[in-house]
Amino acid sequence: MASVQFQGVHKRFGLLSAVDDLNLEIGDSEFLVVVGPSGCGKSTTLRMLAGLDRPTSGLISIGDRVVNLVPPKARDVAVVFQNYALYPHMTVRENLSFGMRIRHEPRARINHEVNEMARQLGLSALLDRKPAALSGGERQRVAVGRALLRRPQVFLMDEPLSNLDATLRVRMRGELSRLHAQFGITTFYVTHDQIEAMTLGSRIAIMRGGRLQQVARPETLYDEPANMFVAGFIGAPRMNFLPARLVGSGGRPCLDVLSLRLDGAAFHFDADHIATTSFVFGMRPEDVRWSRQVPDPSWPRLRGVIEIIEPVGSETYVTVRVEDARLLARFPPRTGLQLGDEIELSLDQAHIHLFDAKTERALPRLPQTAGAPGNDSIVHLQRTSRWQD
Amino acid sequence: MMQTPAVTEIRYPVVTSAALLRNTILILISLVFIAPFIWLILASIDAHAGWGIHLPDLTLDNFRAVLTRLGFNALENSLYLALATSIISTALGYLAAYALSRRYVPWKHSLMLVILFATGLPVSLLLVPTYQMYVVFGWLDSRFTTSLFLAAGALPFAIWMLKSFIDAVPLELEEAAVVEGAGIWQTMLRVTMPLTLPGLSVTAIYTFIAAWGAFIAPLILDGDPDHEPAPLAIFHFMGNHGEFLFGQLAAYSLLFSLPVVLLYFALSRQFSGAFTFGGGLKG
Repeated sequence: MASVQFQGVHKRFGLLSAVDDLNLEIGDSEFLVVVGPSGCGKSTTLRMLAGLDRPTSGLISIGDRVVNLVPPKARDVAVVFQNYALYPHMTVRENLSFGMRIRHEPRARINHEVNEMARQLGLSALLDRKPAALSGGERQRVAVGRALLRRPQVFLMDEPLSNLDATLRVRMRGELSRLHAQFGITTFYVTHDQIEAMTLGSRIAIMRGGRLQQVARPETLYDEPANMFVAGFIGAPRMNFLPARLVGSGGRPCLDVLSLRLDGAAFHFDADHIATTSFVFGMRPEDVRWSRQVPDPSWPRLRGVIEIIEPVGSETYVTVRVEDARLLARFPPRTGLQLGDEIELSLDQAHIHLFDAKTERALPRLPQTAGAPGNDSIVHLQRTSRWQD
Repeated sequence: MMQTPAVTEIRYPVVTSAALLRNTILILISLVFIAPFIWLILASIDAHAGWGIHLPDLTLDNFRAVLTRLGFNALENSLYLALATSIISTALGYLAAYALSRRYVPWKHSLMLVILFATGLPVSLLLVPTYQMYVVFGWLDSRFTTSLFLAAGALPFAIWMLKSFIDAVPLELEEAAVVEGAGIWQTMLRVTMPLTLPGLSVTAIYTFIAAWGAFIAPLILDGDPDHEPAPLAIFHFMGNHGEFLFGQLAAYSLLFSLPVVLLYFALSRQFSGAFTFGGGLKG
């Protein structure tokens, strides 16, 4: 096993910058998932690590070795391609053993290892079939088996589950987790599916337009997104975003969101923020609650009319029109609510996210210790006339 | 109240007058094209073959006579030329097509257009300068050098044909092989080539057939009577015997076209049993 490092890696195709100043480290035996919308540079990054594309500048290392000039076959990596890339003219056995045959390994050893891998992946009965005679899930397992037989230092997977149907995808997801636990191979996994990213990754790297947005553990990514893109990309249904204004009230920073005035003392505002005053308020659907189910009357409340109800079984997504905005809330199942009903919503203040409207960056939260609502910032804030109202 | 008729009650017209007219015209046109072939077959087994098409006086004497007179030598020469041309142009064409399909080649697009233009050049246009060249090189009167010329002529077609087949092989398959440790030659021979077998056989058969019927190039480049291929033999046979021996001529022509007909059957089987990439990539 080995760690992987990208240092200042750029990749340009003509004028187009596919990957822009990527700095990323993958620990030994780590399962890192790179996620992002199509065209974000995640597959290009994988191809550079595999040696199929060359970085325009920057260094890529596997273990202690810089591999920029090392050809793919000497990098000790294995790739599972999105379309599996099984050789259609070979049987499953030939597909699995191709690499070993190329390396002229002894026949007895090839047979032994192929049989053993087939047994582990439940492919023993399919060894003499050609890929055309396999189901999607079976092909996927052959592709994974072929990669595992390489005993690689690093395992690269390019959207390996995207061609499977929903049920199979869930099963193979579990299977991949199990294989990673069993073999402990450093894994670089590319996907556009945030659920896959959240469930598989020990850490997740989010990319957009060739730039790395945030690398963190799944929970951190969910609770402390670095910017609006990450906040909107991770989590389904998506986080609610509403325009917010920073105002001063009684010497404390406050946020005007819709008709509410919320306490903003939990955030650290710097001088630039105060000058702009315009922010984006973010709240996840599960933190928008039905007042009837919230015991705490001190939570800020909003009234609105139900526009859409989407029951998904385990829960119900309710879109509520509040003033001139829409809020998506995540309710328990069997609410008995009807379209057009008027409803009161309560917002969980502890889970407010706040973003700079211009840079889209998240404002850092102040440490939760009592009596430390960022005194410096309040001093700054008090200098502005907007503070008094 | 409307009643829906049972399915069996609905009858579709089998023959319409428009279809009848259309098919009659088509049959008449096709007769014009088929007539020479019918004559060829009938004349070859007719003891009294002449210009016209009539019921044959059945005999195999034509075959016997023409083979004792001409022997198999000319057919052998044709086979030599066709095989050599086919092998050389397909092998070289494959390598060129592979590079043009997979590698970075400067001015690739323009190069392909030049090659396409070359497929349209009439061979006879090149024969005079080629003859000069062969004189200088001392290459005249050799079956091998003649097949080199034929192969060069077939090469543009072979490159275009093979490139389209190689283009159809997903690049990911080669990348998978490269990551697994295969070199350029191993990737080409063990992954790409088996998947382009239909293209290879189509190209090989097509270039074979083209060289099998070659007439003008062997006529100019190879004056040795022992090297005379079948088309030239037929040509000489026509005038050399005072009278037209229609029956024997037809018999020999039939023997000459037999391999081509068989190869066309092989070719059509290749296409109908179309090889697909099913299963290798997403389902």
